Amino acid sequence: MNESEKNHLSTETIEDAVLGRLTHDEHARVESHLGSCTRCRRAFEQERLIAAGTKGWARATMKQKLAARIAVTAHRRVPWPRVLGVAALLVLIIGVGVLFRWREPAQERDLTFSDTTVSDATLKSKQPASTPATTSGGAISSRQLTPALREDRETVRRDKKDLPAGERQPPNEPSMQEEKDKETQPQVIMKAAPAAEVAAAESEGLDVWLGGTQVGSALSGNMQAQPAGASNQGVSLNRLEARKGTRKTESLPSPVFVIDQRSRGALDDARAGIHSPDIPTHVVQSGDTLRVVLFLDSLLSPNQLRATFARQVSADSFQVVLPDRILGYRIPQTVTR
Amino acid sequence: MKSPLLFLNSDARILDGIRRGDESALVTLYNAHRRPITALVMRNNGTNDDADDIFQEALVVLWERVRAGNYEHTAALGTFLFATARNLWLRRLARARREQPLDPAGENTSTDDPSPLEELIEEERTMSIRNALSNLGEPCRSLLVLFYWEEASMDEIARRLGLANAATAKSKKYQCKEQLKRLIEKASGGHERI
Repeated sequence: MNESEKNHLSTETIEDAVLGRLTHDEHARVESHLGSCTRCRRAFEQERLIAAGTKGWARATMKQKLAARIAVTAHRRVPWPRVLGVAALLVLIIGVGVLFRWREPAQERDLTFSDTTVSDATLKSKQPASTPATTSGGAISSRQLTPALREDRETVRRDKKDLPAGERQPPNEPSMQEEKDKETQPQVIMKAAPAAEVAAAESEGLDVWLGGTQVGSALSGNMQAQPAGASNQGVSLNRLEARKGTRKTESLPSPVFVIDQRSRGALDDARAGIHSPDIPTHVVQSGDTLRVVLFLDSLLSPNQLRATFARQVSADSFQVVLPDRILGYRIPQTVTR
Repeated sequence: MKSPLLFLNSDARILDGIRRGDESALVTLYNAHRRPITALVMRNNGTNDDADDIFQEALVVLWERVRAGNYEHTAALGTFLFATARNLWLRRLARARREQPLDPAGENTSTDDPSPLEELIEEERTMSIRNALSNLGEPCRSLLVLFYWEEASMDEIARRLGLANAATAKSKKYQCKEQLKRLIEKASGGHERI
């Protein structure tokens, strides 16, 4: 046994050597000793393996714990790019939906009120802010019109088109011929309680229509009425549609319309209550009878009038559907029903 | 690019967390620096899983160094982790090809790496120790981990394991090592002695 073997390295020295805690000189001395001491070399190797194995085990364990933690956080992590993408898509879909939803009634409103014969501003100025001028469903497209109505519409367009610009009369200033026509052209009167009105109309020699039934007899021109459907005597609204000598009725839950003729004097009176720039409208109240008079003679020929279609769309408003337009009217607040 | 997450969790705060044994600090680092390391590994014949594995190893190296007091904060943690992960990956590639590492002077590489055969033998032996450690009860396992991995002093071990003092911890360490050796011998059927 040589000198080195007699003075074996202590356990602490070997541990420090394995863990790299020795100084350079100390490390050199240990290396030198290990070169000549079999027992210490074996102890050193044993210590190195235990240290390496322990470190390896600790690293592997730590790595497993870390991977588990990362997996949990990754699971909890909000995938923001995906979330934002889905949100953007939803916003887009909702936006497009809202746009279309918004445009749809807008088009309807346009069809109802954008006609040149009715000024939106005029209507709005006469409308209470809290109530709409019309309800939806008032639109009638060309496709919905019967061939006869389409023909009438074309006639109206042609009439308007063919008229020279200089000869076009302002709506409220009808020509002499029109003035003459006004006395013979029918107008629309809407009544809530028709009995007294019928008597008055008959005494004036007017053609009176009550709930789709002709109760008067003075229709002119082609307005040969062929009443269809029973009168509801003011209980239900009858949609009157004049079409080449025939009238089609359709019951709706609302007051009655009466179509009659009015005298020239009545026309003048009615002009005081014009609601439309070129369709004179007048609403008068007589007792419990409400009259809404449209002086269609200023615009329409008898043929065109046959396509007239008036209907009430709410308690205080009504529409007149012409072959080429829909007119919306608000019953003035001064009229109480 | 520096991640906002890192900005909120400064290096000093993360290092402090590691020193206190807060493992969530590593998760924060992982989330902040994963992307460049994944790109590096995937550019060099690796997969996403390889990148994760390597990066987790790099994080464990950082943990080990900080806990053992061997970490010198001379560069940003992101830089350290990137360099460590890069060297670990290159080393793994070199081992796979039975070649020397491409960057032998880098972190965690040795100039006198063992031969593949020596490496295999070494790996088998350390594996038998790791298996034995798994079967070693507490507090022996924690004690050995504290001593060899975290390189804690006897005073520190005594404090953390609730032992009376450093001498008691030293005595306990001796007993634990003997117990470990017996487990290794038992696992090898008495053929292997370390």
